[in-house]
Amino acid sequence: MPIGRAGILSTESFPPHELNSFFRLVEKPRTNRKGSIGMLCFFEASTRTELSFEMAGLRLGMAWSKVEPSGLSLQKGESLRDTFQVLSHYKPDLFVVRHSVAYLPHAVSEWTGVPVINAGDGINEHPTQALIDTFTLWKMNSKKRYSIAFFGDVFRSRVARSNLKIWKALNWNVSVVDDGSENTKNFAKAFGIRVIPRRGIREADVIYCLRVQAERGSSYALSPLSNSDLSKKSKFMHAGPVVMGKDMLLELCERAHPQSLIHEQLKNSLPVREAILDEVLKRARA
Amino acid sequence: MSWFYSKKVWNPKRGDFVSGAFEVKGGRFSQFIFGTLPPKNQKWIDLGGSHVGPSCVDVHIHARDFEECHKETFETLSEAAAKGGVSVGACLANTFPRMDSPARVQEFLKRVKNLPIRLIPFAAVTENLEGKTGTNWNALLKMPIAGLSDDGKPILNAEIFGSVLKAVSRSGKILSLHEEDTTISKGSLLHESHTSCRLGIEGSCSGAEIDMVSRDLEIAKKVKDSSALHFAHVSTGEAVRLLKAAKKRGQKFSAELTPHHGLLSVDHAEEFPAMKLSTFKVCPPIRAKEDQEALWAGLRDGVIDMFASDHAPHSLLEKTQPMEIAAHGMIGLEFYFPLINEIRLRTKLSWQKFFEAAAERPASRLSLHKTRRWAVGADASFIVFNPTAVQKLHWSRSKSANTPFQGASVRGKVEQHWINGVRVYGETR
Ligand SMILES: [Zn+2]
Repeated sequence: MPIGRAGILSTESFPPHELNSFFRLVEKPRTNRKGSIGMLCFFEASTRTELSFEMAGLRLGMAWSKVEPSGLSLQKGESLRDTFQVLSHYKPDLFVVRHSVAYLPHAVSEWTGVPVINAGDGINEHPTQALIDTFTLWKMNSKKRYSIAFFGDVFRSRVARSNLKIWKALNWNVSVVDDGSENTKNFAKAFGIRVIPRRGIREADVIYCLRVQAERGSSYALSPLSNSDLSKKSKFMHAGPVVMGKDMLLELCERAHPQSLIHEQLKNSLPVREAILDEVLKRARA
Repeated sequence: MSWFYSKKVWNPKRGDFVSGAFEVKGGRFSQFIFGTLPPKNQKWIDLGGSHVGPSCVDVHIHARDFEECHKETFETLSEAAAKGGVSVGACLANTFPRMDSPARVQEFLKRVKNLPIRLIPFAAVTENLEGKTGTNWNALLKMPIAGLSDDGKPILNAEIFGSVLKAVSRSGKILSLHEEDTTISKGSLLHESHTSCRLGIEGSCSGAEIDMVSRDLEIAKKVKDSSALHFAHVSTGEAVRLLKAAKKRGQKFSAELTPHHGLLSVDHAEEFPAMKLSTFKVCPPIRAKEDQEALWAGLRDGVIDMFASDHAPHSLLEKTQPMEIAAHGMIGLEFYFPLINEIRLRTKLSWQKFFEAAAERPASRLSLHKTRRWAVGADASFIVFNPTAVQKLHWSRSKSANTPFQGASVRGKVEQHWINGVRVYGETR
């Protein structure tokens, strides 16, 4: 069960029928969660995701405590395990954890028994973003089997890994644009998806543009996505923040661009995260 | 003085097990007679139809005494080894405190004196294994040590490597090498592969091992005597090819294969739940299927000389961690014989070659060739075993349980283990 007692750590083995019922939940009114307190533990700077969780929780009536990594005694040699065990004694109802170390959220859940929402772990996963993205597509057409082409450095993208796990379970047709790198070819082989030439993305229903992870050592192998890459039917997505002129040209970044789903993704981030928080709190108490 | 009899006693001349008896006097073999029962009027211990052969010698053990006794003590290590059929072991220098001075070595020797199994220390090549300042090689090499090693860490400084190789070769001892170019190995979390890609973990490339093996073979070529060279835990197919070519050229060295590199490939990592993944973390990492096959071939054609456990206990505290933070290493002693026997079966290795790799060659590498032979006059150290009995491994003797073989089924079971004529494991019937 992807959303359960342990929180949400991965999108691995999310059964399609459960995904459907979760998406229907997103559209329903939510429980008031007054009295629940979450801890936001963002060890990597990410104002957006953190704010989005914070606002989603506040709208449910939750309260938050923010953990400032610089304020913890990690520098003094205290281990992450010690830190989280201490934090768990302050009795949070859940942790939201982002860290550059893959599987740290899993470990926190194991160490403390407190539900953990994985808000990004290394290059591994970013499950809540994937639920937002997939919900965005589901909302457009809940019956469609989409064909989606990744555009960018899939290897270093946790957004790509989390999305792929869901899309493969849904039997969607996923491919990745050849950027000439070995990493991309290996990634495609590892996940059993096709590598397509850049012009091939005109066939896809959706182009998923990935942010270049400069901080994780990726570089710009592809020139920015532009209007000329799109066919009439294609839509495009980006999990943000967009590096304008590098990930995609300015012409695609207009809010009113008819083929852009970026605005929809942003709009859906709040209700999806609300529903996730609601579910995690519900299941933790069950 | 006592006699033993079994229907299957190892007979090296025949390269097979035959019915036979042997006498043990003063802890040594004093007679072997094949094809018959012990002489009349002699009391003897009946080992029935069990196989009897030499006990194992392991040149790669990480002891945790003195300061990490929560992981293992010399006593628990010894108990695990007794059960695994290991009677002599060489312990690497990365203990706390480090084995980097004669005083520390002295302390080690004193501490292990009365254990049932024999432990021989390695001393460090450099102070605190930092790769910077050499330890007192001359003084250390005069002591009863296995040799020098910074294992756990490579010797990145080529100059230090060149000079320590000369020094150790002169002494007739071993220079055990952990071949990892740490500038490119990315922490050696998991072999770079489709598995690491799927698991979202930055993989470690084979080049980290290959580059170092190739550098060291090059340097060794220029040294008159480089016989001290010993390649610990070889993991890549390309390293096997380099070693094979070097042996053909006549270069002298030895190399070892661990049970985990022999029995696993990286894809097995995906069988572990996320929080157990770090059980699989070992340095060098478990490589691809092709590498495993090359290691098997290397073992069969003698490029790889011996088995070694690389027994490395870590408590749950160090292992219940994300891959990046968890400690490297696996335990291997308690079921050492079953694990290497499983490799024997899978590689179709002859018994002759098996005992060479499990006992004879490691013993002679530790200069124990006179006392550790399957012959009259040598130490009466032997195991009584069943080579085909399937057992499910429940690790309990070590203080730690960090092994990917927890609950695994393998073939081979040590029934009794005798060291110098004294039973250290099992019961007589
Ligand atoms: Zn090593």
